[in-house]
Amino acid sequence: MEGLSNLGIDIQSILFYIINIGLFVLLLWYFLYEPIINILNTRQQKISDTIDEANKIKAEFEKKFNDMTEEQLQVQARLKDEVEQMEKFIESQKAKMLEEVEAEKQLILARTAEEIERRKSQLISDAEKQLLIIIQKIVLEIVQNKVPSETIQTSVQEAWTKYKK
Amino acid sequence: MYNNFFIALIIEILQVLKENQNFFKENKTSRLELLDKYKLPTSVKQVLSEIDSGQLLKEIHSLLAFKKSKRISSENKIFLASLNYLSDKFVSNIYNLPDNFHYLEYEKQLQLASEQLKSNSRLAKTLIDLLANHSYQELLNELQLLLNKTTNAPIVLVQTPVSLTSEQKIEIKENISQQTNSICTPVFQINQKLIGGMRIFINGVVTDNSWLKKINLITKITNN
Repeated sequence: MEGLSNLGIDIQSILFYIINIGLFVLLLWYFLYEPIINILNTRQQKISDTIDEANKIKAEFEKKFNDMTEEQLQVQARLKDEVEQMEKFIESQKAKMLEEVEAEKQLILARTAEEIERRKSQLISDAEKQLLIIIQKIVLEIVQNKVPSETIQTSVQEAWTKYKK
Repeated sequence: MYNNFFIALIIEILQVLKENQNFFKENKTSRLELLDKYKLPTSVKQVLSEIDSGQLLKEIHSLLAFKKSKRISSENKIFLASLNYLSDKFVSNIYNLPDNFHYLEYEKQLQLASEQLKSNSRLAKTLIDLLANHSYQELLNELQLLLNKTTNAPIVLVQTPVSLTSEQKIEIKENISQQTNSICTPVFQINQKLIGGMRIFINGVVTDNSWLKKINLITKITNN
């Protein structure tokens, strides 16, 4: 014991300290253990709830994400389909329009050819008519002025003879 | 226009009756002998030789009424005989006149017309007056209308490039009369545009034998 005292260790003080610490611990356990445990449990429960909530949200998010992804894919597919249909429609319309333009072109060409032919015939006909009028005038001029009166008298007599028959 | 002629004819007939009180008691031959000294149309003399007094009176009344009413029975023998004379002898007189007749002086016209009628009777004077005061076209057109209205005679127009002789005109007139079976008095018209041949219009229907038609025909055929 004396050796411990030489070393500066006082057993009493140590006991005292031990008792003090024991008392202190006892007091702490008596007054703080339950509330701390409760706080910890509450905290643990809260964290657990939060984690559950987070998991739930995550699951919902994943579900929504999947739904959205699926919807997006469907939309993309539908869009693609519509684009394809639109392209087909445009192609068919383009072809139809080209056909119509071609038909119109052919019609205009035919009409133009017909008009040219008609104008050509008209010009020829007019020229023929003019020529005939000139010929008629020349013939009339010659016949009116150059035929002897005896011939005219004879023609009258012939016309009368023809009429009588 | 021809009313004066009908009046003159009635006066001449009345003159005959006045000078021959027993005219209706005579037979046909005697009447013709009596009428021989009068300058009346032969066709009228023929009617007078056969007609009785009542009928003559009726016909004279009808002829006098014609001046106003412009209507007369187609069975009026005096009227028909007069028309016959006008369409035959008088039209021949018109055809015999020279082409330039209506361009001559009035005195010359009277002289030529007198030469044609060869008589000094009231009737002849009336006709001379008609010839001298009316154109060839007027006289024939009026006569044609009168004949057309009363006897349904055709309206005839003959166009030629040169003037025809009176013989040719008479031949054409007689032929068309025979053809249409009616009295006709064609109007002859000079149309130099015809060049040759002739054109005959009967009641608007044309028979065209002119050179102009032939030339036009050739032109049309060539045109087609």
